[in-house]
Amino acid sequence: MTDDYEHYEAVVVGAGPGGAAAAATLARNDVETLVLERGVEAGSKNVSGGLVYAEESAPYTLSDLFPGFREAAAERPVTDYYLHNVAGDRVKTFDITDLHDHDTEWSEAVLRRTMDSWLAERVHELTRETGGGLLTDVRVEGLLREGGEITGVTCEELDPIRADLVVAADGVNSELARDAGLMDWEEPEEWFQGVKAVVDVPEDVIAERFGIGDDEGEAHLFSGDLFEGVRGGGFVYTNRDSLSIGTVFHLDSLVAEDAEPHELLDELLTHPLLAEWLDGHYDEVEYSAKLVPDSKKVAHPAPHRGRLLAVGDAAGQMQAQGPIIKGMNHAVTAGALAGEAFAEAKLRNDPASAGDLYERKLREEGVMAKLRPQGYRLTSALGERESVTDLADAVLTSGVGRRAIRLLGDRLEGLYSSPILSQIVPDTRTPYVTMPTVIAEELGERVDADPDYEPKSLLDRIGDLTYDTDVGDPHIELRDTSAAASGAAVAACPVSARDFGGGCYREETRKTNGHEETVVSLDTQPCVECGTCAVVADTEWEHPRGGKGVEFRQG
Amino acid sequence: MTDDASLDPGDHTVDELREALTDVESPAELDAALAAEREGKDRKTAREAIEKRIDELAAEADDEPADTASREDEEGAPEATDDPDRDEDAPDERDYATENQTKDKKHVRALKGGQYRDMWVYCETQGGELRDVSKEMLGKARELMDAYNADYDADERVVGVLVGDGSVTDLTDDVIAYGADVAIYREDDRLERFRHKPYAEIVADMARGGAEPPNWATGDPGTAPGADWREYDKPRYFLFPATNNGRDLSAQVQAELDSGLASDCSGLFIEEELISNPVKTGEPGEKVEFERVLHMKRPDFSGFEYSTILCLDNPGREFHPQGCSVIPGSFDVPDPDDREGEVIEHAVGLREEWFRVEVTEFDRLDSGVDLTGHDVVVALGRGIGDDPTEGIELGLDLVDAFDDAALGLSRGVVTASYGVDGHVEEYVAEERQIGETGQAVEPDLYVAAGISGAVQHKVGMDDSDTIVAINTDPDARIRDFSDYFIEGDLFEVLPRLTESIEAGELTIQAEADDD
Ligand SMILES: Cc1cc2nc3c(=O)[nH]c(=O)nc-3n(C[C@H](O)[C@H](O)[C@H](O)COP(=O)(O)OP(=O)(O)OC[C@H]3O[C@@H](n4cnc5c(N)ncnc54)[C@H](O)[C@@H]3O)c2cc1C
Ligand SMILES: Cc1cc2nc3c(=O)[nH]c(=O)nc-3n(C[C@H](O)[C@H](O)[C@H](O)COP(=O)(O)OP(=O)(O)OC[C@H]3O[C@@H](n4cnc5c(N)ncnc54)[C@H](O)[C@@H]3O)c2cc1C
Ligand code: SF4
Repeated sequence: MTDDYEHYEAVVVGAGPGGAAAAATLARNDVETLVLERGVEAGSKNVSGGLVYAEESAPYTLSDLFPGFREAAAERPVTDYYLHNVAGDRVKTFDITDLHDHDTEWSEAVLRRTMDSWLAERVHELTRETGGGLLTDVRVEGLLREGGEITGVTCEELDPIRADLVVAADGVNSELARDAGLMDWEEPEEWFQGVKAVVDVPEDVIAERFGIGDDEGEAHLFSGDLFEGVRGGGFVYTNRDSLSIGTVFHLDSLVAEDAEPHELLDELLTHPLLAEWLDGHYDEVEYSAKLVPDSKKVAHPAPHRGRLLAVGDAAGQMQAQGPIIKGMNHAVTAGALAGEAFAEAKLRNDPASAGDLYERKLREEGVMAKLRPQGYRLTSALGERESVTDLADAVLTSGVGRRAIRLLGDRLEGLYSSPILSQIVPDTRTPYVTMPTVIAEELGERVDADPDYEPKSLLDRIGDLTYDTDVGDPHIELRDTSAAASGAAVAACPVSARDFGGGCYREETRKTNGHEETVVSLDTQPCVECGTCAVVADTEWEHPRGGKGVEFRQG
Repeated sequence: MTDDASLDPGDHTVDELREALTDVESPAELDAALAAEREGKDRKTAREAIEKRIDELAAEADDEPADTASREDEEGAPEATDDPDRDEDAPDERDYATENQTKDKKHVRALKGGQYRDMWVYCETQGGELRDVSKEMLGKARELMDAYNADYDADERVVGVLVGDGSVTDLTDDVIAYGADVAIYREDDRLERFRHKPYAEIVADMARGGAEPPNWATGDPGTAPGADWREYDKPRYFLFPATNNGRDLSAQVQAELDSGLASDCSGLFIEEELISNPVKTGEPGEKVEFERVLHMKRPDFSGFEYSTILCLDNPGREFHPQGCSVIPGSFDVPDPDDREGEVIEHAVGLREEWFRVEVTEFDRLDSGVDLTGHDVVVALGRGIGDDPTEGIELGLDLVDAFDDAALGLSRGVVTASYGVDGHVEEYVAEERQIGETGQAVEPDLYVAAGISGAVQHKVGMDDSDTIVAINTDPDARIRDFSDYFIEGDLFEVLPRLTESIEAGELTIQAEADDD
């Protein structure tokens, strides 16, 4: 029977930026390529904050691989970049456009449904020429192994497929990278959680409130005390006729503070600056969330096993350069390098060497150095220890520290704009919370505007999402219902909350023989497939079947 | 599986099947085999082998460029392709003789110069109601035929077919309301459940208008149709639902009618098609325009595309009805309309031998607790969380107090980790869930105790006549669509309700503030 399996030279799993870049590169090198995507359309499963970078130093960018991308599938170029340090209603704003411009050829705000589906069309055209194509609604469930070797993929919807190359471009919570033993989903400190709302705002209102023209756009970042001490920050990006408003937090910090992601988003949504921008126009059209790997900790130095090459989030290649988030661009670069590596290996009649070649290219093209900067390991060794953090915070908040901040004044802006500093700041609350708070307290100005709206409830956010439920076949199973093992998910799941019965994770009190016990239950129907509970709860976690589950329209 | 199809894939291993398939030259037989496989072992590899053979046959006879993404399941071309209206013009050239029989195609009893009209829709029923897919097809058929009649200045109808027990006579109005001009039915108590043989015989006979097909064994020519409400030999188009029974039926009926079947389609339109395949045109090198061709689109995995399947006549052999099975949910359920239509009882005799297969027992998959059709539904939500076991007991007490009530649950309860006591455990089951991903009910009285009223729950119950909500939270969403809202703890309110019902005094009015 096994002789009947279909064979392709290359199978690319996932049609995000990483998969699209890999497939396009393979196809241009005449490699017969099949792309498998689990969503009903490419992009329907994907979330990003929304700034794609084309780095001057990168060997490949989206517009290199897909001419016309910016005009056809992006929202607005980012021409101004601000960081707001927040303490209560005081705000000190730094213009960090310089940091943003550093090594940047261009940067565009994007919405993933539009972007990925546009890329997928190009990819389908290119790969079809090679005898392959792009198939949606197909979820790859694991690796096909024969004689201990990876020889292809198995899917829920199709027979197993053999391939000489398997590209795992299946994003964060990559089932393939995990199957191959390249990634695990164990440690919360290796991940961020991103949560986002897309709010429709008419184009002319955006133009007026941000003071921008047709070919201009803004990015605004927020840090300080508006997130209950959770490490991370917020962002607002301008799209053509909507705003992407979101937060990105260290997952371990979210869990430690038992914070509710949707409430943190609401804090941002109701900040006086937002109140001004959204006045009369709070029309939230989509709520979404996704885990984001922290490349400093998880970027795999050798992301390949046999015929399997992992690219993008699947290989942990998501760089948080201080407040700037760079995942899509690295996924593109890595995808293209993986494609290139296979094409070269094939030319040399040694396709099996593709993995090593890919690894070398990642190093030689400088990708690895960005993902895992040297300096970070030094500062983190010292800086992430609780005692040091406490000390730093004590100094900063003392009279001495405050005076220093006042003295530094606007020179701080320059410091914040240092590309090197921003790469290596330690992951403690000092840079995320304490420092910006003190800056705002000492240097900030009062902004007062009261929102004329209430953020949407979780109930409505879930109610307004589109789901195609795989009735009777939940994709996540709770292995351990005890609060100790899985209780963290009740707060950390972006569509669940304590005292909310309509979410995925809920807490219940079970009374047996006179004693009470808190247990956790799970309903996967409202799940937005962010991946959080795969890390913070004891689950059997898979993606839903092809085409099933949540469908993002914006992303 | 079918009388004609000698090949029952279930008798073969997949490898044997591949072997056997190479001898099969008839698309209809292959379609039947495919349907049989689906109903039977449903082996993916076997299905693919059969589909592959179908493709081969199509390819053998098809010199269309391979990338047109269209595929002809059946070969053939009309004799008088330059005469698009030959249906009207050439009634007397009809030929009911058996001459078309060939060695390979013993089943072929096709007509030449036959008359074909109307779009027929097989309307499957379930529990005495039209299934949604039947309504979807009727709506689509209406839309297609309205456009058809305008485009071709014709006056052809949508004919809805009902087969079943007495309950189907009540559905003829629905069939018309959802889009048919004619509802034709055959009812008999023995037809209560779907059975392959009698259903296929009846539907084929309806479609032939009672004509006797030619008999190959004896060489008897067929007879002309006897039905007086129509003047044609066979339907022009025929839609079946791609449900288990619909697939089973469609393969057999289309084979009986000597045509082909495009199975599992999700898109339909009627258009001309320029064809250059000589098997179709009879003239190598020439392109012929086929008129009024039903384009049947089906999702096709390994082709990366939709295949568009056409069922075209050959020069010496006509393929009608152009038929397909339609994947449920492909089209919208139309709004029923107050339309006029004709109702026809098709009085074909039922032969004893059709009922040799007896249904001695049947089981609904998912064992299904049916919450529909009760006077009262008492539904419990996560408000029972303080003591789930007692909550369910109280709910059951109230159910018992009514003559005809059932217990329903919110999804919040179905998916909880309550760990309720053994005696009520069986009640906490997905099959009691009400809502978008559960059952939709519309009883006279719906009691929602401890349910917040999420929209996904609402869609399963807000057609109920009277909704009574019990909730401790006066701001609960359910209040917006309740007729009576009782602000209170269900553990106190439910027993009082039960008491007053048992006492025969419905005191809801007194306790509730009428919203
Ligand atoms: C809130 C938020 C803000 C962000 N902001 C930015 C930003 O401003 N700039 C930036 O560059 N990056 C940002 N990122 C990160 C960025 O989104 C990711 O790094 C990037 O999408 C990674 O691309 P990828 O191609 O590796 O994976 P993805 O884009 O996740 O694509 C993976 C694809 O694989 C498919 N797939 C997964 N599993 C399977 C399977 N088993 N079978 C078939 N298909 C499968 C998925 O449906 C998906 O289409 C942000 C992320 C979040 C959550
Ligand atoms: C795609 C999708 C499909 C879904 N499909 C369905 C579906 O088919 N059916 C369905 O039901 N849900 C469905 N849901 C889930 C739905 O969104 C809600 O989560 C669910 O209905 C909530 O159940 P609940 O009302 O019991 O719980 P909750 O929302 O927790 O409400 C409990 C209510 O009980 C009240 N309460 C608490 N204690 C008491 C007391 N002692 N006495 C009285 N009242 C009390 C509270 O005030 C609250 O209003 C679906 C969700 C999604 C995303
Ligand atoms: S259930 Fe898990 S994967 Fe789904 S949204 Fe919640 S945390 Fe994310």
